[in-house]
Amino acid sequence: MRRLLLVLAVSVSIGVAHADVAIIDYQGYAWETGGFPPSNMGDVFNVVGVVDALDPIFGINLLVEEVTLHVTNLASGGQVDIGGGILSISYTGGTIDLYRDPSLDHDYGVSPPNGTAPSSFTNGSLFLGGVFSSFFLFFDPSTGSGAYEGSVVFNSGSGLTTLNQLNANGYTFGGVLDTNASGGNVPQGYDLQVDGTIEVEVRIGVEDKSWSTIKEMYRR
Amino acid sequence: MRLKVLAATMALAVLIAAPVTRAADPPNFDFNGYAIVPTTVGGILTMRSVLTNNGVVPTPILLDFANNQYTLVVIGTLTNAALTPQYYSPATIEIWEDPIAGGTPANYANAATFTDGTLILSGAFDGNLTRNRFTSTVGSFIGKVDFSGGTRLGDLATPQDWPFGGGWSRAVSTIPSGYNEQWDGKIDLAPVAVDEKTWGGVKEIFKK
Repeated sequence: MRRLLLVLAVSVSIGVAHADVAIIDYQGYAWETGGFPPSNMGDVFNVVGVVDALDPIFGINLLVEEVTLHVTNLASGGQVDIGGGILSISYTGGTIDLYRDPSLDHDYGVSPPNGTAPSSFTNGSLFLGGVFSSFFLFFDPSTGSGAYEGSVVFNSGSGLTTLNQLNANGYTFGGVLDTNASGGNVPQGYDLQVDGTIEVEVRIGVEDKSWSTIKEMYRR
Repeated sequence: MRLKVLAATMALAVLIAAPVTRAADPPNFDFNGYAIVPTTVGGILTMRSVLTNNGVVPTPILLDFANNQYTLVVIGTLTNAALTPQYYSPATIEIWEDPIAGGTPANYANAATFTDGTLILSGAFDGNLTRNRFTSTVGSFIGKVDFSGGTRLGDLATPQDWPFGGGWSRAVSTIPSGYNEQWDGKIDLAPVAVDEKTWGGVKEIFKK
């Protein structure tokens, strides 16, 4: 019987060693203290936005409650021309928080921070909260367009409970356009339009054990 | 299987109630999909995607996300050999409406599921569709679209110069087999030209 249990246990632990992802699609607007570009060392990059599609695994109906996004405290390391006039900016620090809110009240307003941004994007209950472990933004001033990517560790929020996780690795990327490139579709006072995706890694843990340790478990 | 149904489920997940839009947000067509990117001049870029506004973010024309799925397809020919920027010309765009009930959900393994239903808007890029590569895993794309066809063409205030842009990534873990990268972007409302007139000029218009 012990042998049978041992075989079953090893088989199961090998079988569940995988990761999947939950996907969140969002759009919004960004501003950097002091304006953008240029991005000077110490400037702080911020984004507010709204989720318009998310993985059904979360069970949220976006027509009856909004999920909003707030990225802040990303500190610029200063812009670097990586050739062809393309700017690369590495940011440090930074948090990303998403809130679910039945009041459906998000409002970008103008010239953030203002009376509604970020406050109408940070009300409700915390859905996912995380910290950036890296964030890079690239921008081509000649076209007014660019892209970004960042790695995140999500460590709070009801969404983690839904995923049955205490924490989860995340990745976000997206595109940015300035006012001219977007045809004037950036609210006054914001620097960039933002459109991006978040992947939240759904991990199923596997604990490494030696053969002798596994045997020991079934001798007790 | 998860990848096959992901686009459809993301679009369908929030469609129980009738479309509701929040007037405070600037309207756009928000899309999320995957691209096949050529490596040689003359090669064809194909990007297939699903519109993700879902009644959350307003669209430039009224769309019924409760009853339809909307797909967006871009096809372009690579005209230069540089790694970045890449220029695609000619490049075309199509937006299709397909009923959820009785239609075929978008399936990245089946290209035809993105071009069935009703062609509601079609057009071409005005000049190049430009694809920038910033690192091996991330970049951007930008262009301007002139719409010229589709059943909803007449609903557009202006068919010309719709800003098209967004970002792409190869670092995501969900790229379907046969595709190279994920594209997440928007088509923004085209700016409407304003003809400056003096008050006298305005009055003169109404005297005619």
